[in-house]
Amino acid sequence: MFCWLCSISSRLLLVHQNTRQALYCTFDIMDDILITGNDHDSIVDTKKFLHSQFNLKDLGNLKYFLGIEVSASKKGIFICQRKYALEIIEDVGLLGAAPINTPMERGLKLSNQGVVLKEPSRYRRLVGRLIYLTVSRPDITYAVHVLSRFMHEPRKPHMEAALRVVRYLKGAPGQGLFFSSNNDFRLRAYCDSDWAGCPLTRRSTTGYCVFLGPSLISWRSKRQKTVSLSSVEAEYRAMTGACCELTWLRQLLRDLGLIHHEAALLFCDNKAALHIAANPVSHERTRHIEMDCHFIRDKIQDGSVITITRYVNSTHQLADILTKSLGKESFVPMIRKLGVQDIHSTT
Amino acid sequence: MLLISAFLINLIIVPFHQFSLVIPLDKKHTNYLIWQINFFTSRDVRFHETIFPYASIQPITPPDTGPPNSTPETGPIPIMAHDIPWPNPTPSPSNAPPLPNPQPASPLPETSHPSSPRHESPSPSSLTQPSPSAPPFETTSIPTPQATPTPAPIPLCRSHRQTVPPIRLKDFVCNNIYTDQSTSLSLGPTKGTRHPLSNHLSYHRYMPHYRSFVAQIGSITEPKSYSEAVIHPEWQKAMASELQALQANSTWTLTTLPTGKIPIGCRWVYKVKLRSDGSIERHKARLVAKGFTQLEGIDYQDTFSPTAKIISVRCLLALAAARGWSLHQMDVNNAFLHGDLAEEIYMSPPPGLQR
Repeated sequence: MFCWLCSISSRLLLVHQNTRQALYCTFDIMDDILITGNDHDSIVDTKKFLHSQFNLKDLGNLKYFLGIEVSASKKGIFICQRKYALEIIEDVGLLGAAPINTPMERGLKLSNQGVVLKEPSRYRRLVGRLIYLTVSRPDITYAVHVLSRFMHEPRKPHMEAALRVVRYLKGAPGQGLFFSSNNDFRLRAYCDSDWAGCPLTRRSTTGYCVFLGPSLISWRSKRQKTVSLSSVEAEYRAMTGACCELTWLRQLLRDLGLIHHEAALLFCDNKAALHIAANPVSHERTRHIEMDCHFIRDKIQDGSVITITRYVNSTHQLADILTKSLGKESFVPMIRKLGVQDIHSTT
Repeated sequence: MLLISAFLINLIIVPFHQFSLVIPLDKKHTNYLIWQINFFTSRDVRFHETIFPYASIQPITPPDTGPPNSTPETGPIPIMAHDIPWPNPTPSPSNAPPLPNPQPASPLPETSHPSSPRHESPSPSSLTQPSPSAPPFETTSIPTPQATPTPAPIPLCRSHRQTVPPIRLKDFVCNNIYTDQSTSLSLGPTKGTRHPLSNHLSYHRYMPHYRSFVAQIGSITEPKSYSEAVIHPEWQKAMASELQALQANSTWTLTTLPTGKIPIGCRWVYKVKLRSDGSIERHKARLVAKGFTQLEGIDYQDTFSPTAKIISVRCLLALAAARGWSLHQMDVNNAFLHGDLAEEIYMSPPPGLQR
């Protein structure tokens, strides 16, 4: 009666499909199950079936899941971690603190200077909780990424920076991500890098974000594994990261019944990197990044995954927020463009 | 009216400078008549400095027993006793007009239209925002006695009954702040909150049923340790059923620890599962082993954790939003990893296990 396919891109995703209906289901953390699909009757049947086979309880419509609050309306779905954020603020004891506009001071570079904290576990616990908060908050992703570099030996300036993130959370604890019901399924990705951004290792930072139509679905901020000699090289590595993510997402979306015929767009603000990607001519200065070069060129030329790279002006570069700490003038418009909204705001 | 005025005369002993009366005009309590009456303390008051007042009075009745015009039965003293510590952080901004002043009902928290955003939005701010008269007394950090002669902002004596239902939704977030402010009101210059959370968090955009669900999530606290949980019977029951299920599944056998082996620890994780209407489905206790103390190559060879990537969950949500699918949630009662352990693992017995 039930024929399920296990998705290749995510093992815990089971997909059931036949000619008339498509049903989707994710299994999560062993005991939470999400069911969705386009056919209401099949969902009811599935629930009945699961109930008869396993000791399962139906909790009804999805509202609270892994600490994420989900609210749906006709305009779309909004997710936030309001309760979790409030718990963090309360634990730190900053419920009455003055809020602040940005999670990190503009241009702040944290180094290994300062007094070593006597109780590193407090810092570790706080940053660990902030990491989980990035599930619905791309706005603090970069700040948390920087803070988590110092988990092994946190110092006083690091703790101060972490508390600043909490004060930023205080300003909008109910901020979250909005998935629009707009029927647009194009994939877009923005990638950016911060060349030699880490003052300790001089490695660069990769940042990318991927949109499905108007909704942000994936983003990342990560220090690169190797040192880049030029900004083009760093940018190129970021492009590779975004390209891998796009490949995986296309696979996942295909498993979910969404097949992309048109090209996914990859936006980049470095013209030199784009030239290297488009030109099949090997250059001496790109020899050491050949693997990345070939990977992206293959993706562009081969029609299957198709990634068209486009130039985007730095002011419209949405991945900027994942590679540097911005001032409030550019920070707030940027997070709105990412789809971060606050339905809990008082105004 | 006669009755009320007699009651007011009684109240003169109470050091109130202003007193306002709220009388519901109709049964639905949508319209109110507000009276504000000013008092001047008489000089002919004799102080009994050696006698402790109110020592023989019965314990105070709960504040939300009834409308204010039913309070004459309880007499003047209870009013004072629970009006000063009553968490009413609005220092009355309308201290100036001396005459009975029928005001619009706006300072009252709205009860009749919980869904209307127009009424909802002013209520959190009016509750916690320090009014223009408040800042001087908050910012002065030294507790000087000068606060006593100046008429401190006296909380409006409003009907206790109405404050409860709409405010409750905000209360759970701002508990600390409310208590802070109430003490600061009665004690004079102490720390009040200049940045109350309700400036940044409001729920007026939610539908009423979702709002109650959110309130329900907020009111739930899950115990963090065994010692916290063991005092509650519902968690005891949850742990007992989990242990029973683990034993029925023959997950472990009790044995003595051989020499040279280090046992790994375990702990309880507590979760409250909610239905989509916000009611508690059940209390869930899970026993987890502290696997992080294991050593690679000795205790385990490889790891596998069957958790979904959060990106794929977001992807599913984005797709469900775009296609307009409904999302449902199910919960597994007792989840076991039905796998066989090749390694020999010793775990210390969980707290609460009956030998």
